[in-house]
Formats: sequence, C-alpha cells, structure tokens
Amino acid sequence: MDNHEQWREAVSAYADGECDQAERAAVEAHLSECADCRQWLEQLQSDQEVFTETLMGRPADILDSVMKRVTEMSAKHEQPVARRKPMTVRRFVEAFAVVAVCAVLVSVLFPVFSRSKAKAPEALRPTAGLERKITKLEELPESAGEPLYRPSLLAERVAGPELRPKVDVVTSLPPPPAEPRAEPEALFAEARAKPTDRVVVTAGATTGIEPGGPEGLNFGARRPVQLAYDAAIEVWVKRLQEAVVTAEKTFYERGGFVLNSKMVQVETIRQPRVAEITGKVPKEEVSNTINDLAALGWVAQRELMGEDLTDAYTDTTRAITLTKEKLNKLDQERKKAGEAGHGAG
Amino acid sequence: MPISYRDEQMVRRTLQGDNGAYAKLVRTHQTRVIAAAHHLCGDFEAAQDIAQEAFIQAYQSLAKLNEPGKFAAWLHGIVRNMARKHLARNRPQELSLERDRITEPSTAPTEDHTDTVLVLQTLPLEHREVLAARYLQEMDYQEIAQMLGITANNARVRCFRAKQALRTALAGAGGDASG
Repeated sequence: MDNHEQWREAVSAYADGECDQAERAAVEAHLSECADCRQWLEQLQSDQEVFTETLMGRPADILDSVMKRVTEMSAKHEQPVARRKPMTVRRFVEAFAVVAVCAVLVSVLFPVFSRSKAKAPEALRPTAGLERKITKLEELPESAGEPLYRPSLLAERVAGPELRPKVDVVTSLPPPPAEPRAEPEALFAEARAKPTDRVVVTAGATTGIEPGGPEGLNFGARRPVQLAYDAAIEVWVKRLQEAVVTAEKTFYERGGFVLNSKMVQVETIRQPRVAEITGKVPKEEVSNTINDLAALGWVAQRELMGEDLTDAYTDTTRAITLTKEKLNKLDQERKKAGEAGHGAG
Repeated sequence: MPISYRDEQMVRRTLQGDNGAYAKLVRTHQTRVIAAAHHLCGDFEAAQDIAQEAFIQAYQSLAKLNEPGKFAAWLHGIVRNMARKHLARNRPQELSLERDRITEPSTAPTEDHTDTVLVLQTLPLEHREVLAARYLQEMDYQEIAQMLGITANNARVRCFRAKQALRTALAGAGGDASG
C-alpha cells in the first residue's frame, strides 16, 4: 500500500474496527511511522464525537405516542405475528397432522364450551366471535373425550382479564452481594484515559420448564403454570478475556452450560469490545448466576423475565398422549392381525 | 450501545404479543432514531414524526424481520426510506432549516449546537446516510452495504469519503482546520 490516500482509507476502516488481522497489523505498523495518519486517526475520533454529541444531545421522547398507537393496533388485532414459511411437502404432512389433531381437540372441547356458556357470569362471557364459534361447535356430535384445557384458543377471544393465564413470578433477584466492587467513576476515568480497555459482557440465563410449579387461574380453573425464566445482565469489565472465561466457568459451576459465546465487536478504537454469552442454568441457580456475573465488574443493566409456557406445555403433553393412544391402538390391531394370521395358518 | 441479544429477545416477545417488550425497544432506540432522522431531513420536528412512523411501521412489519438481532439496522433502513420521502415532499430544505431554530425552550439547542447541525446539513445526502448509519446506528460495513445495495468494500470506501467530507465541513465551519 504505497498510496497515501489508501492508507487513510485503511485507517478509517481501522477506526471502525473493520480490518482483518493482517491489515490491522499493517495499519498499526504504519501508524507508528506516519505522523500524518496518526493525526487523521485522532481527527476521525474527534469528528465522530462532535457528530454524535450534536445530533444526540437534544432530548425527545416519543415513547408514549408510539405505544399509544401500538396499543390501539393491538386492540384491533393488528399486532405482528410470526411469519409463516412456504409450505414444503414435509410441512404439508406436518400441517395435515396438526389439522387431524385439531379436529380431535375441537370435538373434546365441546363439553367445556357448552358448560362455560351456560354458567359464566356477565364479565366472563365470551365475545360475539366466540359465540358464533360455539354455535358451530354445537352442531358437532359430542365426544366422550376428557375435557381439554386450551387457553391459547381462548385467551385472545374471551373478554375479561379473569380468564387470562396469570403468572406468579416465584424467583426474584436478591440484593447484590456486599463485597466492594470497582467504583463506576474509576472505571469511567480509566475508560476515558484508555478507551480500548473498556469492555462489556452480556450474559443471559434461561431455565427449563418448571413442572408442577405454582398454580394460576386459567380458563376458570386452577392449573399448574409452567414457567421459564430469562435473565440478562450487562457488565462492564476491565479485562474482557478474563471476564469471558470466568463467566463461562460460572455457568458450569452453577450446574448449567454455555449455549453460545461470541465476540461481537473486535478490536475497535473508539468503542468498547463486547462479548455475548448465552447459557442455561437450573431455575434455582438463576439468581446466583446473575450475582456471580455481577461481581465481574460494574453492572450497567440487569433484568429478570418470566415467561408462561403453559399453553405450549399443555399442547405438547396432549399431543404425546394422543400419539401414545394411537400407537397402542395400532399395536393392538397388529397383534389381532397376527393372531388371525396364525389362526388361519 | 445496541445489544443485539436484548433486541432479539424483545423482538421475539413482541411477536408473542408482549407490547411491553416493544416499549423497551422504542425506549432503547428512540434517541438514535430521532437523531438519524434529524440528520437526514434537517428538521427536528419532522424527525420526531418520522421516528414515530418508523416505529409504527416496524411494529406492523416485525414478522418480516429475518434476523431479530439486527433490529437496529433494519429500523434504520425504514427511517432512511421515510426521510427520503419526506425530503422529496418538502423541498426546498432551507425552510425546514429555519424551522429548526424554533423549538420549545426546554429542549432548545444552544446556538453553537444549531450551527453545527446546519454545518452537517451542508453534506450531500449520500454522505449523511452513511454517517448516520455508521456513527449513530453503529452499523458495520456489511449492514451498510446491505442497506445501500452495494458491496461491503464499496461501503468501506463510502464511509471513508463521508468522513473526509465531514472533516472538510467541520474544518470549514471554524473547527479544527488541520488535515
């Protein structure tokens, strides 16, 4: 690279953290020799500061106005839903199986609907759309199947919050440990003095389903609610590599495992390096894991979220039961056929 | 700093019907989005409208987002398109730049601040787009290339040209004239 303009372009990419290892080494070697390019690098950093401070230094809050419209759209059922993939042969087979399962579910749902329609108080009455659905269902012959709990079918259509699944968050984060940590001001001062040392670790911990968890009111009945937890923490640390290794070790020590560990931004000049680690730990270790990770440095953000998986859990359980019943039936028929064959022989 | 993991989680939850998650996305990104829209269209009031519409459009089209972790880059693409439409509807720009000086006292920028905004407005739109993407949304070259429909190498060159133009504009406005 002899052309000076090319060097300036390479320095620009270097400042953006977009050079590969070889180019980065070349740029660093060049910077140690070329005062002009060193000045260019400093100007790039200073211009970026002026640019972002000028444009982002003016407060404005559109959250309320956006969320007001989002809420209106939700009320009109205009909320986004996961996009469907094009239907392949395999998906068609799966879809057919789902339709078959749904047909069974509809027939066993019927007794539940008829009872709730007759006895539900005014506040718990289904909406007009559901009334129409019930009328159609009533035309079907009644099935002898056991009453089925399908909140996913009802939650969106039934009026009144009483029928929606209620989630009790049973895990909360205890207060942070009492050990002294590095003062944020000291870290900031150090970061200003040497920006490449400012690094960030983000880690998430997810629990599995918690069978037999707390009961919640669901479609008028108390059911065990199946909960999963997601926790996230963002920690600013002084030495990234060391923090990453410690964080990964924490997952193993807490009885979990690391799903993904990656460097998001490598070797930039102006911005901190970032590592993202995602792992899973048992439910009872979520708080401890988060506290262990918090001890790595200065905590910028942390969050604990519970998710109600009761619908998915019930659907899956029901699908397994149906499949087992079908398998048993087929097995019996096969045996009968075998016996008939032996009898004929 | 955009945290892709967090964005991914929030997008996933929004698609499951959790509007609170979308509120978190708006809170996280609104300052950068308004700043980008302001830089692109040159009018702070219009920038807030553009940002609001962009968030609404993003909400409606969220299911089309293939990589939820890249929410920020995708949202910036929407802002860019809206700002372009705004510019096409509202020429000449001089009027909007004047309007930019009339704001509420609580959020009114200082005279120096407004002057710098006006200096940034002298840059050609193609440079403004690249600078907003790189410096405000912290998009990498690959994301910028995708947004502009060019190669990553071309995005690198465009970033370089835009930074050169920014240096010239700031130096001409009485800033550091060296270089």
